[in-house]
Amino acid sequence: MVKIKNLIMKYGNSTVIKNINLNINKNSTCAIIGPSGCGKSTLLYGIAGILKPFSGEILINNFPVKENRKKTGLILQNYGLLPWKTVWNNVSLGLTIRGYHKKDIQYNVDKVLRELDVYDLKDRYPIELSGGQRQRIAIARALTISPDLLLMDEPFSSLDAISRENLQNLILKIHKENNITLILVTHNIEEAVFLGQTIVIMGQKFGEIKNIINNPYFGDEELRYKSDYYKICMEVRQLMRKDEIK
Amino acid sequence: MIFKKITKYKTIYGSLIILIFWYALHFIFKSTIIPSPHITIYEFFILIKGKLLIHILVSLFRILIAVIISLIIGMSVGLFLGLNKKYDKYISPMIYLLYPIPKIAFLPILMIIFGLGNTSKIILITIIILFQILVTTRDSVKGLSKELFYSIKSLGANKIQIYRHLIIPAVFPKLLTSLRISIGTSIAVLFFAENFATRYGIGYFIMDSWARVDYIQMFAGILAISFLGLLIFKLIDLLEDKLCKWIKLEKLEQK
Repeated sequence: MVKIKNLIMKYGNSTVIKNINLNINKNSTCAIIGPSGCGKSTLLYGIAGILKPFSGEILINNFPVKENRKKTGLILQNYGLLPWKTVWNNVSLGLTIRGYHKKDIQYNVDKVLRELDVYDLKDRYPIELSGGQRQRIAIARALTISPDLLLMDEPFSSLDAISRENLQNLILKIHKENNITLILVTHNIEEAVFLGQTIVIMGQKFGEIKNIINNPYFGDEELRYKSDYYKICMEVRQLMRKDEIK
Repeated sequence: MIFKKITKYKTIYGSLIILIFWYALHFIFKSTIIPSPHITIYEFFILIKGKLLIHILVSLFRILIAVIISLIIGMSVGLFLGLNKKYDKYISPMIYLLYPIPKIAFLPILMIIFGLGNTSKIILITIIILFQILVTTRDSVKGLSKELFYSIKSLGANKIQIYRHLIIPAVFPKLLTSLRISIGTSIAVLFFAENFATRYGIGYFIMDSWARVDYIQMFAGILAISFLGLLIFKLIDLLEDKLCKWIKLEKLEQK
């Protein structure tokens, strides 16, 4: 679904992504992991169409990425909720912007809020919510536009461990039920292994891909309680360390 | 308990304290230069039915026109500079040079260029408030996080929608704050400007009463300015309450 060919991206004069090639299949998930400053977020924003490539190509369903692809959802670390809008108005924003009919917006937003178990919060403002609740709202907002591609930039890294695992389970469920292709950027190894069907390890410098690992255990909700999970975590950890020593 | 009541009726409480001081000064000096509050207030209510109201309305009109013009110019230039760093780099030094100049010193020049009437007075207030609004708008746009822009762009917003859902609501409460500050200044400046070449306006009224050694009327005029300020501040508070509920919540959160 997503094809990246000879991609170079620059931030000002410095090269952040140096020659990346990557294929991500439809209805699969991909976790991109690497140390901070390795360019993984830049890569994600490139796929989202927010930042433009310097050279090379990013194709989604064989079309070059443009800004505002209608079916790409983006979820950010700091939630990106507008503080002056209530939960309901935040979640409906995507549909409002797309010019949906009022009744359709009402129906869709209520439905998504109920599915994510946050309907009771609909009249609150973001400042009145906990971090986990805010991220649920951000997920709800991304889901209202019925995306076929969901991009997440370190979505759970500022949350406590329990909220984080709950939301990881939620994302896994959403992926399975809606056939959404998922690309997740993270610096958390456990998260990458739990949510990544393919795990892409990026190097410390120059935004290059060091390794791509297939994760055969992906999709198991009970994975965290199994020893295979820790084996893969260990494998990823070692690959990341090797890079550091070099 | 007492404190709660005080914050609830804070305007009445403030007036009471001022009245007590006023009475104290009145009794200490025992002179006509400080008339007693109740006589002044009585005079105020008699005058407000007639000429004082006209003077106040003329002043209010001058302030409102100036505020509207400075909002339009200040906001558009502020938004433009906040969103376009390239131009900001070249234009900001000029703004910083012009901002601290006491614009009131230009009143004679303005009167020569724009005439003695309303125009020169309105322009004077405009160039004073304008800078405050411009700098506030520019800085609050600059302070918006990249994430908010990313997230609203990812929802497919076009330029107008970004203004409508992100930039304007973000700037609005800060604009109200800068209005609060600049309106105090503009009333004081207007008072000065209305001493020249006009027979209307609260500034004229006060200075005219002074010249006629009518201290009761003079104080009634001062009272009127105070009420005019209060009215405008309350209007701004009301706007904030109605349109920026989230600001209140944010303030609560910080406590």
